[in-house]
Amino acid sequence: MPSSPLTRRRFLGEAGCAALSSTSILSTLLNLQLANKAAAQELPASEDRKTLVCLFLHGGIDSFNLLIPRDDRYQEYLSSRTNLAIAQGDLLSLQQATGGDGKLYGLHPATAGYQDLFNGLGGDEAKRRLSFISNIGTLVQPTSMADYHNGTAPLPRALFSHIDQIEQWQTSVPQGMTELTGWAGRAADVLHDTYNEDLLSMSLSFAGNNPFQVGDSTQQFVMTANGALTFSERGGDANHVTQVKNEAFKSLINRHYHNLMEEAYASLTKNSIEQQAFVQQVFDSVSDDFVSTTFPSTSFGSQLRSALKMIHLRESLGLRRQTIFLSYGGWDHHSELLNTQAGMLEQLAPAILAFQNGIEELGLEDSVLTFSASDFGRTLRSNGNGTDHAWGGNQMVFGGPVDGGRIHGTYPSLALDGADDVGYGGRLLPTTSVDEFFAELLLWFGVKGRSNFEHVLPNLSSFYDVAQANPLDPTTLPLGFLKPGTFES
Amino acid sequence: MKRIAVVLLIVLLLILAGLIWRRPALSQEDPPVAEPSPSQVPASQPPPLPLPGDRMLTGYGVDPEEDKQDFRRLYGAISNFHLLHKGIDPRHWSTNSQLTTLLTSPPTATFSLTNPAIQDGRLVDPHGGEVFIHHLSSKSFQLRGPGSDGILYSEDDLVWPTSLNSP
Repeated sequence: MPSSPLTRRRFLGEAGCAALSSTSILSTLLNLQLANKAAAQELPASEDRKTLVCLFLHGGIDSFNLLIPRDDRYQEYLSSRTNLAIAQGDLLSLQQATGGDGKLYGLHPATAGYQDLFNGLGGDEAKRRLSFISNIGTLVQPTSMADYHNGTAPLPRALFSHIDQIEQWQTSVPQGMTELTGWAGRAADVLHDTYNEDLLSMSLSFAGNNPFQVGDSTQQFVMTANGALTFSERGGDANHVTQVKNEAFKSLINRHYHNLMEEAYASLTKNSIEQQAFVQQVFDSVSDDFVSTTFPSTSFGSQLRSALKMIHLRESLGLRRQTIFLSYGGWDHHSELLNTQAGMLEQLAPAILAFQNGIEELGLEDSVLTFSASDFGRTLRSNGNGTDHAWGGNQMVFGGPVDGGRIHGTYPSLALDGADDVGYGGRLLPTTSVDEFFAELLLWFGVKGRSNFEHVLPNLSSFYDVAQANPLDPTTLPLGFLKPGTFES
Repeated sequence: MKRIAVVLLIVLLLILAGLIWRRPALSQEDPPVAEPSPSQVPASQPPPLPLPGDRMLTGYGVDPEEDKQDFRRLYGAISNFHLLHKGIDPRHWSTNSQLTTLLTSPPTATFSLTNPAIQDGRLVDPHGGEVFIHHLSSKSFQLRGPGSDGILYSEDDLVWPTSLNSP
């Protein structure tokens, strides 16, 4: 796939941008883009398409009632969770593959879909698609309990608050940023020119604007389950107020302006409208029966079905690399955990299973990787009927490239005021950083080289040296959830 | 010419008379200001100014009919605390006991221990129930009090701001 040529105009435009902003970041970015563009000439012409899907569970899911110890550690779980504990007999049993932590776990009873993905699709152990990452959270650097209490390590800014922690999961810069960019956006900055035709952004969001996909030079393309966002045409009535407003707006952006800012705004808006029309045309060109897998008839089920359609269409859209952002919110269960979470998991898990089944039906299982993320974990101690904001939690990663059926990271002690509790009711200090998780996802996705990783995950070197990554040896990877040979060094 | 000399003489005499008249006043020294001795200090000094949180919550919880208004005043007093002590990371005031300690202890004290919104070392709503602090971001938070039934997350909860997005 040829990359778009670096024309003189484009080079001057990019260089001008770097000069105008006066930041070293953009200059670095320009260098990275140029280097990657040069490397693009050497890419094989083979089908090398990959989609990275982020499923963000807004609100902070209580993930220690999702992945629960089923062995003698259950008593500790029961003591801490008291009235919020799920009965041991109700847990869905997980059969860990060799290479996991070798302990017994169970799942929340409303997540049969996850059980199927973990133990093997349709009972086939060769199709173990899902693994968990335990006690993961935002960290600036490896941090011990003594570091936390003595203040001897920098901590993420504004722990336990929704907006800051959502932001930090999406930027992977827990120190905070003055100008927000997300790690997927920064990855797009270094990958888009190398891998994609310049038809459409590689960053698609089905959940509105998000920091995750904002790059220095790339932006996200926001969609809905019905396709691209478009101007409302309101039928054919040319005198309808919306129609008149739209026509007036279009005439404004089609004018030429002497003022550079006005011209740039008009050009950007026009480009956006053209992209919307292009995407809608491609989206509508595929009938709804493009996949026979049945998705739940819920809002989230529709979102996942449309996401699958956009993955199916990535070749038509000129994309060899694509990120997709999905959101399912409402997990902030301060007041009522058991019933509310069960009801939500009953919606989430079948939709996730349908999504992976659809991917398998289309033969895309080796080129799509999905991971979950959430604001934070929740306190182990019940506040009555719910739980409050905490820190470390459990997340999942699934897809064909995942060596599934394993618990990665270190499952923590669930004792209140125990070895992993920083205090105030079971707030667990993460033992795995988000950087380690994201680095392994990005190794698979095609980010290469220390300089690119320093740009995308600036804190990574405190946890992991990417130079040691050997695609054939999972023990050299940050967490080791990828199958051997799923990416090139 | 004679007339000019007379006028000049009169002016000189007037200036001389003025100097003589002012001379004793110039030479008079101001009496030294005596330092007040401790015995001369009045026995009753004006009382220290109340802390901002106490001033803002006068009458808090007195009239049950005014509970919503009182609760908004409590939010205002805590917001005022954050204006006076900027940049305290939420992890230091993420629970009721942590926030109460900050509100009542030096060097950040803006509430006294006799503040009507503090009971037994806890921040309470106008009905005496323990307040829950919901952290939205490093700069925004929501307060929830259990209300008259004393049960958090029930229908009569006092909540401010009511919208999670804007105070």
